Amino acid sequence: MRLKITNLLFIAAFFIQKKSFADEKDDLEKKHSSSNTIEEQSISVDFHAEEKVDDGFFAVPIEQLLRNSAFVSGLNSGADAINSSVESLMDAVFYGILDSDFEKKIDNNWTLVSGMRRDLFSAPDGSYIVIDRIKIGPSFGRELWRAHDISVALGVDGAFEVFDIYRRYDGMRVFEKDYLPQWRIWANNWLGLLPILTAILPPSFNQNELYDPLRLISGPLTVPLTSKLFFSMPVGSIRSYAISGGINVPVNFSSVVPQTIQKTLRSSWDLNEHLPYSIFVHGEHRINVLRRDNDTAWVGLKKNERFGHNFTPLVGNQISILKGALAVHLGKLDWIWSGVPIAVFPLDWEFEQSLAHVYDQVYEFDMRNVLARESYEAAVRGDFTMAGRLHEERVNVGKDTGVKFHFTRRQSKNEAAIRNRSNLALLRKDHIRDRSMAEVEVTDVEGKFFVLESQHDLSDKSWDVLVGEEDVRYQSHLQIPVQKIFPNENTNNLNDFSYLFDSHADPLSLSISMAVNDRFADVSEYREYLKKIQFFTKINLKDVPEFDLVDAKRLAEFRQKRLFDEPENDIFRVHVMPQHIGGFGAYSVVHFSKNQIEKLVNLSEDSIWRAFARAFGENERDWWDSEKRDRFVNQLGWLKYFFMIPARIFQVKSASADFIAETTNAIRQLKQVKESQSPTDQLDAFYRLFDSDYIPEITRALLELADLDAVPRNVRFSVQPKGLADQRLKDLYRTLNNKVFHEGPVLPVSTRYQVAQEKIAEFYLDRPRDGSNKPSISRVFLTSQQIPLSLRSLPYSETAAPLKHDKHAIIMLECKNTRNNSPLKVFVRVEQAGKLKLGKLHLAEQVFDILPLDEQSRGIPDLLRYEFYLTGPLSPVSSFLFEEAVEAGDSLSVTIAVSADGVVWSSERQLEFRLVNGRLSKPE
Amino acid sequence: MAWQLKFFFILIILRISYAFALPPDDAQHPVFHVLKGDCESSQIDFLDSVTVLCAKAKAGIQQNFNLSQPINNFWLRYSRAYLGFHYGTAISFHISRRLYVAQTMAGELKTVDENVDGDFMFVRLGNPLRHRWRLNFGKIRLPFGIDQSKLAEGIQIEKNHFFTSRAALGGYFSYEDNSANLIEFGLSAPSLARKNDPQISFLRPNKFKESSDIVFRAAHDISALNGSRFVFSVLYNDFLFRRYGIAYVVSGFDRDLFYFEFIRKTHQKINSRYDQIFKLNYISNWTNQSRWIFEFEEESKRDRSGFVEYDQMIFNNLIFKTAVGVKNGQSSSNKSVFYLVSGLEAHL
Repeated sequence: MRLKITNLLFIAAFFIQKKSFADEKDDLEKKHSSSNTIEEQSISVDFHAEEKVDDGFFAVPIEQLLRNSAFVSGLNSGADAINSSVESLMDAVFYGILDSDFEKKIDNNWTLVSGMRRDLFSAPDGSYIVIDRIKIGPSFGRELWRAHDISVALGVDGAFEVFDIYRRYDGMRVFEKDYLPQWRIWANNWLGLLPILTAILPPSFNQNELYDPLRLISGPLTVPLTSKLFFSMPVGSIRSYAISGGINVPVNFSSVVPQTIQKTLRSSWDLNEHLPYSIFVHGEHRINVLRRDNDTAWVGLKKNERFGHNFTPLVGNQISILKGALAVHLGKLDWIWSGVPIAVFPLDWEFEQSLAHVYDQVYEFDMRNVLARESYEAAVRGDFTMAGRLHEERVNVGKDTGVKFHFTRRQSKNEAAIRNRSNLALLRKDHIRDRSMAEVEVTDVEGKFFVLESQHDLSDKSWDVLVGEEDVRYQSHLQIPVQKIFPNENTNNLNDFSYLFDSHADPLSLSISMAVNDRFADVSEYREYLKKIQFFTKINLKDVPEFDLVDAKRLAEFRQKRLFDEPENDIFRVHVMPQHIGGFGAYSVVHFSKNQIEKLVNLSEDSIWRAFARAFGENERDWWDSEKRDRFVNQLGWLKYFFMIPARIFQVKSASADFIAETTNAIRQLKQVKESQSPTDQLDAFYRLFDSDYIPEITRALLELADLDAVPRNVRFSVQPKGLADQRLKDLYRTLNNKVFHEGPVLPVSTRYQVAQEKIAEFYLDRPRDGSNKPSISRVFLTSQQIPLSLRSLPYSETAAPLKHDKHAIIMLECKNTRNNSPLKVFVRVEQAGKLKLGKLHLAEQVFDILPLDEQSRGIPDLLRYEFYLTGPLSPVSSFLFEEAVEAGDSLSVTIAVSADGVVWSSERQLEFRLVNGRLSKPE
Repeated sequence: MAWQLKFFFILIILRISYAFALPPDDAQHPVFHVLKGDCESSQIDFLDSVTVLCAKAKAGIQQNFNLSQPINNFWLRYSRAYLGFHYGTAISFHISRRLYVAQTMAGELKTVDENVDGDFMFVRLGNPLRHRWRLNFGKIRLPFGIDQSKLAEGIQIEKNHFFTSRAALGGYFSYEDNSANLIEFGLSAPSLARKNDPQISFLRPNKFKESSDIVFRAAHDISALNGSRFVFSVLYNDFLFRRYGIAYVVSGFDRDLFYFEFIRKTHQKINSRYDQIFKLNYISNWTNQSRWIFEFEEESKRDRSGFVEYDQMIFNNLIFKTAVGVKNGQSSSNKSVFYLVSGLEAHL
């Protein structure tokens, strides 16, 4: 199920303007550009009002995290143990400490398995969403028999698993030093190792990945089984815990692989092959608790039972590099470092089919109410009886019970998945195709209704060690509202029923979405994404910013070096690659109404062929009519299709080769949609129409056929400018943030079923929200200013840097949602900016309190002004290194966030500058 | 050798004749340039009508201290010269020659592994910036992996060279798309298999036969950091061995270079026998007249070595080199052997 991701924080566009400082603060509105060196000038950064933005572009849907494939893929096959692939070198060397699996053998058959994992996603506002996961449980495995070297085994396993999902700000981490006991600060920072690693490792190292390991370990102790524990949860956070178990019968066919192939794999790259097939039954009972705001708890129950089989062929190995690079021989102690585990799995497939019964239920509790608290404590233990009774009393009797029922949903699903992963240690490519067909029964406050549902999820993910992950995901979602009819009302046989179209309910609808999430895109990828979005939605993206592919200066330099270079150096002359512009996210939707679908299925076969030819990049004239299609040359297309099938093992596909098969299938399914009398037949036809690796092409073909003015389509962007590209380019890129392009009529309002789904989506939150009105920074004003005369006459302390000039950088903030009568907590981090080094240098990182200035800002209510010196003897973040860097005229990057309580922080604001002899200047 | 020299002189004569025949408009451009050092061409860019001589040379003296076995200390004198003669941008001739003289502290000459020899002499048709297809032929090192080390020569000659290529008569084609890909395919002329290869020393002399090396190297660039490159290589020798290599080169923001390489060599004559090497290198850019080099190697999971080198430019073209390192493994009876190398190197 695609979780619709909504609201969170914001980052609006920001722009830097240089401003005359003649009239200082009173003249803030007048802005004009300035020269490179800024004398008597300042930098003013305005921020648009904070809007909610979708953090989900940069996080994965929680259901992906909850999917526990390890249990269903046959623990006893051994394949999963090998395939605990390491995502990155950072993961391997550092983060892996908190991503560990432990196995304790109890006897020959029983093993105690435990594991913990931390995932971190950056949100556009500069905060991080932390997902801590811990599980423990027994596992039983025993070989039943072996025939011709083919082993058949029995596996039984069970586990208790806890998720803790919360938001972490850098400011929060620094502020914790002020109130946590000393031992906890040391523990959180790994006895001081963490700040050192942060200082010496590349900028991609994120200390929040490792910060506060105790919170991860203590997960099982924080399950909110009591009201008191609930109130200890941060607002917006989620705790999720589950008991699960399963039985599987794995059969390993590795021995059928010819010896010569096995030998070649081992001798060339030490690779092993596995061919495990497994039949499984798996069940899970999960409780989710969300602290929605200060006093509201949402408690959800999810029961999931699955029965199915899977086949997971695998070729690869986990190789340790740098093994023995470190060793200690001290007396009797002989320790040799086991090295960095690197996963090399050129072939890693998974085919899975299963029948699933899923039950979801959500209740809301007002925790100020005693009755609600009582029923909450029962519900989080799995007993919703009291909650149900209190809801009834509230609705029927009007009693203030504080309990609200949202809905229940029962799904009977047919699931199938093909996952193709190639992992070559430094780069990985995943192609995932999940689909399901379900009969859904939903009970909400208005009563019971039924929906037939078909979903397809096609995801192409690629990852490399340096720039992380990029993911393009297509989902199609069809809902057919139906009535469930029992032909014989007197019978007790609940399986004797049929579905009819429900003419009174919301009409049938088909939505197809495309989500792009790239943590570090370059210009070439950016262009490619825009092209894909335009292709998918048929929206003209005419106002999007455009950039040069490569940096002209670097290209000229490369050419100079290479023209007469020694040929032996060729291998080191890496081409000038496209400029990096930062994180890129886009979410687009195309919606077909019932009327449009009826129109599509009534079109002639010729026009469908033409539309598909255009969508698949074929010459439509060759497929114009049946005579042309029947030509021998065109029919040879089937040969292309069959020849290309083996290439799919290596994730190679060709739209041209698959065009003929895809179009033939589409025509067949559209015909069936037209002719089908029952909703189940129609569901089946749609299911097979989108059961393809070509969802974007199929969508495009449907758009070619449809009346575009009647098809709502929209796309929304979310970007995070970062990287080495120059500031002008990044500012231009930032203008894309939150931009929405829309064509066709407005998207239809949510159906009853979609409302229920949105509630689940909100509940299985992709990212926690903030509970109260967050403070925000609406303007940062940086200038250089003389320190007061009285202070200039004071002697400096011995530790302070000698004063070479008496002008220092001063920052003025304009903030909203802060309190007039209490101090504001300000988080300031100063780093080296400009030409990035491989290792970044944190010059200062601190949280301090300041009081607002008396004056109100620009007459705007709720806008308060704060002021502090960033550099010089009056700076609260002053340090030896920082002052040295300032004196040396280094380029500096300042990150600022504010908070009223140290827990909820504003979005981070950044600006870059240099201070040369007391004058502000652009960074180098 | 003689025919190559003749060819070289013929090229020069042809070029001079051509210069005299130039029309007046082109006469304003200098027709012959001599570049040295990095041979960068800020002003000549893309002119077909110029002839360029790129010259590089270095000479140095180093002292190698084996701190664990002082008896193995030695002096090394070395020099290397390279000339690249570019006749326009379509044809060029490249020649390189190295000389090593190593002497123990007792004054005895020390044998230097002949595989260290990096000499080559070949013709290249095509230029990387002007032509997608290029052909290189002559006495040439076939392209395989990274196959280079920037460490001080005193350390390089102490390594074994099972995994490096020697120059041989042969050639290779290159295809480069000027955006992200480089593909090379080449072969060397049949020659008698290397009798002195310690891996096959047990074979009787009459068992050796003529064999060729066939090589394929492909590089693909991705836009990570300042640009990164994956390199895949395969070398096939029908008599002796096969070599497979994978490497990753990263050009850092400060033009620092980081790369690692894994090579496995399987032996045709010895069943299920293979050797492998893993290399990790970091070479910093020259900043403030100095640079750092780090190199780690693990060979066949038996021997490991790590070296750190610091180079400081004293005057223009004069470099003071200092390196420290340690080797540990079967070749040193599992004892750690520490090295200190220092020396001076002069550049053209």
